[in-house]
Parts: sequence; C-alpha cells; structure tokens
Amino acid sequence: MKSASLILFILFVNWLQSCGPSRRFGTTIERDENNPCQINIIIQVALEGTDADVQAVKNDLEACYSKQCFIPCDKDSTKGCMTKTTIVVKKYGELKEEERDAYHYVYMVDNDGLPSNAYIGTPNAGASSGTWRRNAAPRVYCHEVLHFCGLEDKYCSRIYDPVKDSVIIELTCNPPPEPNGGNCCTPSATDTRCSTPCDGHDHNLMATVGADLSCQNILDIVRKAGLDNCPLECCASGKTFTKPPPEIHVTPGYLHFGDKNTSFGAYGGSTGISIKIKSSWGVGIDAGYYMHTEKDNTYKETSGILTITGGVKYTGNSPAPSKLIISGHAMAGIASYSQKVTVGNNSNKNTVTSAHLNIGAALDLKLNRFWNIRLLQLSYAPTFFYESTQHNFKANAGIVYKLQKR
Amino acid sequence: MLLLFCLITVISLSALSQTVVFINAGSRAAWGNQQQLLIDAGGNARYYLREVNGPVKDSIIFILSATQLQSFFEKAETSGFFTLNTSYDGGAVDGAGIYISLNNSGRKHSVSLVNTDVPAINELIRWLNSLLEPQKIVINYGQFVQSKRR
Repeated sequence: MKSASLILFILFVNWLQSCGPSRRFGTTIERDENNPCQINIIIQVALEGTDADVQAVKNDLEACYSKQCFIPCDKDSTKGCMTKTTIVVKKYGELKEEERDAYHYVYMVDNDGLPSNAYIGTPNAGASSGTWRRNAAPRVYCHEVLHFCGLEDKYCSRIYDPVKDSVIIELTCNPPPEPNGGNCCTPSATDTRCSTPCDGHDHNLMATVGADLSCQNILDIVRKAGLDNCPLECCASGKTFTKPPPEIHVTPGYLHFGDKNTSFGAYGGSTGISIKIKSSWGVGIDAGYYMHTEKDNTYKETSGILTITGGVKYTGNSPAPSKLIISGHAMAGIASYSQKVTVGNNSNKNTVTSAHLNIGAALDLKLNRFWNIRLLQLSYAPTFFYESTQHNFKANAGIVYKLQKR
Repeated sequence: MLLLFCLITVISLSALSQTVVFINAGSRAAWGNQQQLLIDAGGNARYYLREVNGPVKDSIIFILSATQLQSFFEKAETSGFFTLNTSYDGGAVDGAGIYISLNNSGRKHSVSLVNTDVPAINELIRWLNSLLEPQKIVINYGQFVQSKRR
C-alpha cells in the first residue's frame, strides 16, 4: 500500500513538472502576465544527443542564465523593471511533433577541438539551430544561445595568405571601426589567422568566451524584442514591484491539540487562498478541519476542530536559481471544537467556539509557473476553550496552485 | 660571370622557397583549434596546430616529394578548384572552416569555406590528407561532422 502511494506520488509530481513553461518560439520574450515590471525570457533548446548531453547542457545554461537584470526607467534610473530568464532543455526525440518548431534544434557531436556553431535567430519568431561539440569550454553554449536569441559576434578576424602575400579580411566589426587602427589584428606567416574583440567589447561574451554573461547581453536580447523599456506603472511606484498571482493551497496535516488537562493528536487538513498586495506581502484566508476518535468497547468519543482564520503572509525573496520559497504567516480567526460522545446507543454532542491564532512558516518547492509543493508548514495555533489556553501545533504538507492564465 | 651565377642561384632558391600551398583550417571563432600548412615549391612543408591567439600545440617540418606535390596540383585541377568561387558561407556563426590558397606554376587561386561543405574541396582535402597520412596529420575543417540544420 505504501509502495503504491509512493508510485502515485511520483507520478503526480512528474505530471506537475510536465506543466512547465512552454512557448511557441525558441526564444520568447514577453512582459509577465501578472507583473508588467517583469520581462520573461524563455529559451527552449532541444538536443539531438544523449541523456548526458541534455543534463550537461542544461546545467551549463541554467548556471549561466540565472542572472536577473534591471531595466531602469527613462526618467529615474533608481526605478525600473527586472528580467527573468528561464532555460528549457529537452531531448529532441522526446518532443511531440507539434512541439518541435518551438525549440532551437542542436545537433550534438563529439569534441574535435573545433568550435560549436549556431544560426542567428530572432526572438518571438520561430527557432534556430546549431551544431555543438560535447564538453565544450565553459560559456561556449551560453555564447551560442545568445546567437539563437539574435545577437551577433563582436570579434573580427584576419588571415595572412603567404601565397598572395596579403592579409584577407575574414570577419569585420559591426558597427565599425575595426580595432588596432582599422586593421583588426596582425596575422603572420607563423600565426596565419588572428582574431580580436571589437572596440569596447573586450569583456563581452559575444567577443570572447573568457567573459561571463552580462546584463548588457540580456538587455541586447530584450531590445531585439522591443521590450527594453519600463511601463509608467512601474516607474511611478517606489520600487520595482512584483505582483505574483493568487495561490490556493491544499495541505493535509496533523494537529496536536490540548492543554494541561487534556490533549490529543488529530488528523485533517487545511485549504485556503492568499493574494499578494506587494512583492513580499499578501493577505490570505485559511480553513481547516482536524478530527480525533477514541474507542473503547461501546464508548466512542469523536473530537472535531474546525478553524477559519484570516491575516497576512510574508514571502521571502529567494535567490534566482533557488526553487525554495520560505514564507511566514500570522492569522487570527475562530475555532469550533465539537465533541461527540457515544455510549452504547446514547450519544451526546457539545460544540464550543473560541478565538484562534495561526502563526507559522512554510517551505515550498517551486515546480513550475503553476505549481509548488509545500514541503512543510509548521504553525503555532492556540485556542482558548473553557477559559484555558490550548497551545496547539500544526504540521502540514501538500500542494500550492498559482491562479494564472496558461 | 660569378655574379650572374649567384643571381640565378638566389632567384632559383627564392622561387623554390615561395609558398605554393597554404591552408588554414579549423576554428572560425575567436577560440578553438586551427591548423596551418605551408608548402613551398620544393616540397618543404611546415605544419602547425595552435589555438586561435594561443600557443602552438603541435608542429612538424617535413618534405613532400615532387611527385606528391604534382599529384596534389593535378587533383586541384581535376576537382575544379581553380574555377570555384573565392568564398562559400553556410550562414552559421562561429564554427569551423578552411582557407586554401594555391599557386600552380603562377596560376593562383584561393577559396574560403565557413560552416559549409563543397564537394570539390572535400575531394581535394581527402587527397591531401592521404599525402599527409605518414605525418599523422588530418586536416579538419568540420567535414567529418554531418552538420544538421532543421
């Protein structure tokens, strides 16, 4: 039974993960549906290669593109918008036919010391392709993905031809001029091909894979999509704001109820909704029901605790690559405690109500745009029945669904 | 008389040492490996493997016989090298390519390939690679990879 539950749980989690972001283009750049101050860049890459290739490229690209960048407002550079990049790497053969056109296609080959290549793509239009070498040097895949997103190289090159005793122009800088007084670089009879970054691009990943991805690279991509600006509603606020979608949670759990006179453990669950009013702060309501039963021959006692609370919720800003979200809540409301005692054929039911507090924290694992798993929620939930204080504790775990358009 | 002899000798040596085959193959990016092969009219060949703007990783000096060099030029003629365009570009960026410049008895021509294949060049380089086999040199400009574009 436990194994079956575990398998069902794994299948459920896989299903949730399959609901991840999916767009029509290899590179999609769009303003967030719920937050106009956030520019989402979704890059989808499909590899024709092995599972190990998928994992290696995914790791490399996710590490490179974890950067979030600020787009300042025109009139006040202290205010502005943020970019958020999501990388999706999948195995080409595992894509459905209708999905393939929405992924940049990459053919993986063994590393023969030659560079990978890419065709320059256009954001929000189709998808591009390339041939990549396995185990490429750090940041090479990151560089090639920038080509998929529409960026051009920022290096020039020359070849010295000893047969003609002349220097051949191979690549030029766009826009000009060429560095080194217009000569780019100086090849020789012993070093017949040279390359150098264009002026002002010595530390640009489009000129050298020795450089890290910069926010300038990200902003250049966003500019290609015409979204390198920040709307008035973001620039008028005190700071860049985020307005995440409302969330519904369903969390089965355990309640330890009681005071010095009586105590018991009850099983049940909570559900509720929370709505963000600022980037970190929100309001929410929560309802729960927990039940405990004791039996002894003809004696049966059933205790039920119904809680309804409302209050505030604070969500911490976790670093971009982290999928863990920590939140805290402080709520107040009422609790109803019903006790039904049955002895033989006689039964007696008693219900009382009390003020109720619900203060605690939760740890969520973000699965995708729509789903989180609530790994653990711990709450101190005192009640005040019978002119006494019950120091109750709750432990819950479950799922969180974010209400937003697909 | 002696002066005339010296002049003829210098001119002859100069003609012999003139590079008649030049190949730069490999990276067309700002990183990666590239190979360069220079052969003069006397068959004296110099080969280098080096990183772009980087150190030499391998080098060798060897001699191709007059027959071998002649066979290479004949292959260039029969493959149509001297009638090819000077440049072929597959459209991709970074990646690999080859630049070949030949002087066959005063007839000069050069061809550049970037991220693409041209059958005549493949045929010529296949022939050259067979000549270079004793030196364990394989000119590689990406022709061994079946590049795919969707």
